[in-house]
Amino acid sequence: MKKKKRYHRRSEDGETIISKFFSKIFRFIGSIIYSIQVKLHKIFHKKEKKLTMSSVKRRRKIFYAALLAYPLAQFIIFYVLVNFNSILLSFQTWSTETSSFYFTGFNNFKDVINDLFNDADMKVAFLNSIKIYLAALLIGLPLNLIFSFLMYKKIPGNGAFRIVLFLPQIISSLVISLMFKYIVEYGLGNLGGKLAFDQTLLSNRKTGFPTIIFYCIWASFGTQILIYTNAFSKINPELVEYGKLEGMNMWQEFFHISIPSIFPTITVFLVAGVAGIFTNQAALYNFYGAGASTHMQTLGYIFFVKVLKNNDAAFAQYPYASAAGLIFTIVAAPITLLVKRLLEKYGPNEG
Amino acid sequence: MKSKRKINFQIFYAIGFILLLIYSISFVTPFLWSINASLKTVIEFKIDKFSIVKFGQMQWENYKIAMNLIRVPVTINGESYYIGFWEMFFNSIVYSLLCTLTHVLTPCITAYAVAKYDYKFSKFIYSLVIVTLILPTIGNLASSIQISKLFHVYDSFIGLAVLKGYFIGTNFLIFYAAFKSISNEYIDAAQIDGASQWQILTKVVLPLVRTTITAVALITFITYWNDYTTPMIYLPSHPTIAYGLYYFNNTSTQEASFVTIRLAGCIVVSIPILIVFVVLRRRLMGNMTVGGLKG
Repeated sequence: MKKKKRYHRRSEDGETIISKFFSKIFRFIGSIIYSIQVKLHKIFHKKEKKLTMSSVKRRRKIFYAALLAYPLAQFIIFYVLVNFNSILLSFQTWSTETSSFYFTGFNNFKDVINDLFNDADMKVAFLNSIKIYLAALLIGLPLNLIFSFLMYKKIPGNGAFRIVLFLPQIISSLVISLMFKYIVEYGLGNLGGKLAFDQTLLSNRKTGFPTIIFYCIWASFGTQILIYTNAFSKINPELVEYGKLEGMNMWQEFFHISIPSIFPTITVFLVAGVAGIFTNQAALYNFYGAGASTHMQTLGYIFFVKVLKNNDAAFAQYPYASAAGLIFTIVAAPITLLVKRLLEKYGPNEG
Repeated sequence: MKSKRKINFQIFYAIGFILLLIYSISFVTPFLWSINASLKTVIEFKIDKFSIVKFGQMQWENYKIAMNLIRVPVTINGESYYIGFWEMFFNSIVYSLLCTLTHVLTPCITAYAVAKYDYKFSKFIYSLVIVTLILPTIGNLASSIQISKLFHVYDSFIGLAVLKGYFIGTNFLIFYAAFKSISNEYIDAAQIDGASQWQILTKVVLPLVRTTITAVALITFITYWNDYTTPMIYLPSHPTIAYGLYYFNNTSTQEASFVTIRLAGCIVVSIPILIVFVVLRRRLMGNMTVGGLKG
C-alpha cells in the first residue's frame, strides 16, 4: 500500500507543461528583479566584500519590497480607489445634457430606501435573495459536506463520482443553464403536457423560482468538494483511529471528528457567503438575459442588470446602484462580523 | 460490536452511493439529451424530444450552422462588423491566459511574502486580506467600470489582466496555506548555503508547491474561459467565445432560434474545455486547502 502511494506521488510531481510555463515566467521576472537588485546593490554597497548578517537582512527587505510592489499598487487603485469612487458616485447624479456627473447630496439614498420599503418588486427581490441564501446554507452546504466526506472515505466508484461532482466547475455555467433550460422547456415540457400542465416549470409563476433554487443547488458543486475533501484527508489519522477504537459509527465520525476538524475551512465559506445575499444573481442572467420576470428577480440581479450597458441610460443608473451597494454594505458588514464571532464562539473547535 | 459497525458502514455507504448516483444521473442526462437533440432535424425534434438518433441520420450540419451563426456585431470607430467564431475563440485564449497569469502570480507572490517573511507588514497584509474577504463590498461595479476607463484598462486585454491581477481572495488563502505548510528549515538551510532570496523562492519554495500552483492555475483558467459577463462589460470590442454563445442564444433570427442549432452551439463551445479537463484531470484535482479566518 505504502509503495503504491509513493509511486503515485512521484508521478504527480513530474514536470508539467503548466509548471514549466510558470517557472519560465518566474525566471524571466526573476532576471529583471535580479538586475534591479544588482544595480541597487552597486549603488548602495560599493565597497562591501563579504556578506554580513546585516547585508543579508537588507537584501531580504529589498526583495520583500520588490515582491509586494505590484500587488499593493494594484490593490490601491482597483480596490481602495474603486470603493472610494463608489462612495463618491452614490452622492452624484448623471446629467444627460452635459454627459457628466454632478453632486446631489443624499437623494440617491432616499430613493433607494424609499424603493426598498415601498416598491413591490424590490420587496420580492429581497425575499428571493434570502430564500436562495437559506437554500444554499441548509441544503447546498450539507450536501457538499456529505459528498466530500464520501469522496474522502473512498466510496465505491469515487473516481467517477469525483469527476461528475467537479463538472459544474468545468463546464460553463451558461452552457449548463441553457441545457437545463431547454430540457425543462422542451423535454420535460412534453412530459408536462402528458401530466396536464399547461406551462413549463420555468415559465409557470408558481414553479419558476423553486426551479431556479433547485438549479442553484444542483449546479453548486465543484471546487468546494475538492477543498473539503482535501481538508478531510488532512485530519490527524490518530484522531480517526481513536474514534474507531471508541466504536464510533460513520455518522458519529462525521459529526464529532470530521466536521469539527475542518470547521475553520467551512467558516471561510460561511462568512464570505453572507454578502452573497445581496450579490447573488442566481444564474438568472444565464436563463433570461436582462429580461427575467419580476417575481423571480434577486437583489444581485437587479443591480447587475442596471449598470451593464455602455450608454447614457446605464450611466444614469450608476449613482443609484452605488448608493444601494453602500447601503447593503452597511447592512451586511455587521451581520458578517456577527456570523464570524458566533461561529468562533459556538462553532465546534479543533481537538 | 464489530459486526454492528460493519452494518453501519454499509448503510452509510448505501445511502451515500444512491444519493451520488441520483445526482450523477441527473447531471449527465441533460448533456446526453442535448447531444442527442443537437443531432436531430428540426422536424424530428418537434415530433419526439426523447427518441435516440440513428447513426446514419445524424445532422452534423447543425454544428456547421451553429458555428456560422455564433458571431457578434461590434462597432469600432463608428464602423460595425461581425466577429466570427474563430476570432472569438482566439480572443478567449488571449483573455483567459492573460487573466490567469496575473490572477495566479499576484496572489502567489503576495502569499509567499506574507507567509515566509515575518515582518510586521506581513501581518498587516494578512489581516487586510481577511478583512476584505469578510467585509463585503457590494455594488461597486459601476465605479469599477468608471475607474477602468480612467486608467485605460477598459476594452484592452492587458488592461483587463491588470484589473484581474488582485491578490485578495481565495487564491491568496490557498497559496498562503501551501506556503505555511513548508518548513522554514528548507529556507534557512538554503540561506546558510548562500542562496539569494530569488533562488530560495524559485529553487526551493516554488517546486514544493508546484502541484498547488498547477491546480489553481487550471481552475482559474477554466473560470475565465467560461466567464462571459466580464468580457461583456470590460471588452466590448473583443468578444470572447463565451459571450458569443450568450449572444447567440439571445438572438432571434429564425435559424438561430431552433433549439437543435442552439444546443449544437452549446456543445461546440464546451468541447475545448472538456478536452483540457480530460487531459489534465489529475493535475486539476491537485492539492488545495484553505485555512481558517484567524488573524
